[in-house]
Amino acid sequence: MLIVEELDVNYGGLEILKNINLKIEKREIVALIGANGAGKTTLLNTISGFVKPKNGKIYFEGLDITRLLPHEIVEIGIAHVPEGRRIFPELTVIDNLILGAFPRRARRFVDENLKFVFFLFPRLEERKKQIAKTLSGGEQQMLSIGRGLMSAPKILLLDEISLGLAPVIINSLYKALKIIREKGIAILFVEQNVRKSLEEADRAYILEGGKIVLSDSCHNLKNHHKVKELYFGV
Amino acid sequence: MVLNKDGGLMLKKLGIDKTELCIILLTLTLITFPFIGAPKSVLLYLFLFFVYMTLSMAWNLVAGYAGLVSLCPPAFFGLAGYSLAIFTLLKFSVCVAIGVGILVAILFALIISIPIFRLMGIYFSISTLVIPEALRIAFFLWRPIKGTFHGGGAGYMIPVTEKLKMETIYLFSLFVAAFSIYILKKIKNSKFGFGLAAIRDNQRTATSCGINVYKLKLQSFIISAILIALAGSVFYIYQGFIEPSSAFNIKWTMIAMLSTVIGGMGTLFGPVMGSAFVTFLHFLLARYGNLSLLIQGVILVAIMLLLPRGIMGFLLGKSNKVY
Amino acid sequence: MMDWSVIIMGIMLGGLYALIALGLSLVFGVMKLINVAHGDLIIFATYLSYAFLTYLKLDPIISLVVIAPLMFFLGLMLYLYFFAKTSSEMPEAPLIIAFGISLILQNYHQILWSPMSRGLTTSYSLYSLVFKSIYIPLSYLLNFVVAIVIMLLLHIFLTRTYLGRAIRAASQDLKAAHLMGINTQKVFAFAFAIAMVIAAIAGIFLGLTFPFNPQSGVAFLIIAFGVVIIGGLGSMIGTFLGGVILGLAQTLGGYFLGSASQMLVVYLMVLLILAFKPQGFFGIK
Repeated sequence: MLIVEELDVNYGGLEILKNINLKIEKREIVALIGANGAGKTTLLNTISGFVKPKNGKIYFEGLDITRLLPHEIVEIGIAHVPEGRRIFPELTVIDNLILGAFPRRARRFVDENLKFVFFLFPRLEERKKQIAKTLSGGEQQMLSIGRGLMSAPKILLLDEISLGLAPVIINSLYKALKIIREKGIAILFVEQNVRKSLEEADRAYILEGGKIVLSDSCHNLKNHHKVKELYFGV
Repeated sequence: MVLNKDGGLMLKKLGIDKTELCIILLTLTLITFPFIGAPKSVLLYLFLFFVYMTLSMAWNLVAGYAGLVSLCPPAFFGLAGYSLAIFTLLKFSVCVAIGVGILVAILFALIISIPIFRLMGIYFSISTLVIPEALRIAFFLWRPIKGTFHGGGAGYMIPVTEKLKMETIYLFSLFVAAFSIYILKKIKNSKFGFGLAAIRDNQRTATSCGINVYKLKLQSFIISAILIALAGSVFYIYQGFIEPSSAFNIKWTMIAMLSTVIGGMGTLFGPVMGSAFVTFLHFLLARYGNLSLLIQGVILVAIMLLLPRGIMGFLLGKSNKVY
Repeated sequence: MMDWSVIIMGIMLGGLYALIALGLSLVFGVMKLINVAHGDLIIFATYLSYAFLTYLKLDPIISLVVIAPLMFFLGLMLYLYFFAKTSSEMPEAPLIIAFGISLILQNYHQILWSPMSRGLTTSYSLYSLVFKSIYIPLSYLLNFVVAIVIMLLLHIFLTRTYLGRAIRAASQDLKAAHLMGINTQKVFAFAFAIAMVIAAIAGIFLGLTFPFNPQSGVAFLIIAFGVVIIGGLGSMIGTFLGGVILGLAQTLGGYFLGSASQMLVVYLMVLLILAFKPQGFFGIK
């Protein structure tokens, strides 16, 4: 569904990503793993159109989307849930969600998607009239993901959703991801926590210094000697 | 200009570099003008150029170096003019009157810095717009002392003007202009200048680097006020009369802004080039008051859209120099 | 013995001032741009209406039918061609451009209409209502009513429509708005255009109430700015109250110190508030 081909990305003269090749298919949960500064967020930003690559192409369902503007990329079905949640602080929960359905394609499904989001995250329904900045960290993350879902995406990009959250909440979030996957939406998530990533995803790409050093199913990666060495200290 | 090794060493000993040498030589040349019989019209042209240049330099210091777009120049310009008028009317000497003008400018800068410096960016700029307007009305309503009436409210004839020759006024303006270049150059290469550049880039980061933002802003604002006051004093010595709506008129800001923008904000010689152009424009359109300002507005917008870094900025873009 | 007319007129004037500030606040809130030409654009609309009145005998309020769409279109053009091109390299650019536009307009008006004060005088603009020794000019009342209506309409637009929500979102977190699929350039252009329409309405009613000249724009800008400072951004109530406070400052100042000092009182008030409470009393910063 999504194909990233030989992507080179520079930012301010520095080479951030080199020769990235990546694929995501329907109903997959794919993890992008790497330490800070490895270029994970830049990759997501490039896919969602905020950063333009120096070389390489990105294809979505056969269409070349490399040069599209961010709002056009949302319109065709790629939703990016950003690092740090970035909910609209002064708007209510429900306003945030409705705003998520801004793309024309999504507006027909507002009610349906809203029901789905509330089913996934009942806490949001309880607090739907609350001003977003008064929510807890975990609730804000739920809101951010819910907002992304309101755009009726085919792929959901998630950037560090577990940052600053308690393990219980993190687990519930990842459970929700599985339900989202059942709905037919593919997921690419960025995580620093390697163990968690390998547990939750089907496949993973390991990014180091701007290059993909390993890419395989999580089952295989868990037993890979390099992974064990680097990340599990074996 | 080629200097041999000894010449270069001598310069180093004197503590000046090539640019400063050029400026000094140019200034010396210009000093001779009245004595070699340059016509009054040339002196007048240069006089206005020097006044405009000083204004622009002063504005550039605050807006170009520190990134604070100030709309305040008319306040200091007018206040200096009025100090000159009032104190010469009170029979003080010109020098005293000018000195008072500078003191008033400094004091005023200190007072208004309290409300306006807590503000950033656009808030700052608009508040600096209020001040000349308020002064204009204040001087319209208030007649500080008696004097020969000219214009509404506090309009005065300035007695000094008949007593001074064009040559003297010219030389004075030349020194003020040279002084302003000197000050700006000294600042640009100093710690002060770098601090200002840091503030312009990102005020919050500058603060966390230990830069006392408030103090630096205030200092640059005061220095700017002093230069504007000097320009104003010189100008009104020549002009001979003063009244509120032209003293605190936005055209002084326009001159400073246009000159600096055309030449290149934040550069040292940008305002010089720009003010040369603006002086030329002034003489060209002198009789079309409003049209002149309108055209200046058009040029300002056009430059900002097409060549935002000004002429110097464009030229420097090619090289790695910081001037 | 307090003359209640002065107080009521101050409040009514406040409504008009809130209207003037609304356009400025909208633009500033959304794109962090203080349009220094805002006051002059208001007067532009006023002069247009004056032209219609003088040459076509068209009532100013009726002329809004033509002027409002015109100003909307002008707003779009202004934003797209003059302000959209900002870069982080030169953050002062929009301000300077707005300044240039301000001067262009001021001098354009000066050339076209001469510095003479003019007014939109109609059969009803001088009419006054009297109620138990309280004396209220009809125009003041009209201003107030119109201001409330416009504020309500704007409020509904901002809270109930997608575009309105997008505008509010963009003013809170630009990147997040982008992530929602909002074309931020389009949103900004619209916000600017809407601000121009509100400015046009404010301009017409200002012309009906006060004499105006080419320099009036500056005063309106300062008033608008003052209202925004007092009321804080993002709060319609705040803007309204800010307008009322300044309106009262002006009428009371005029009452006690004479009409020539009115504006000075307002300016001083703005500066005082800046000195002591730059975040305003209400709303968010």
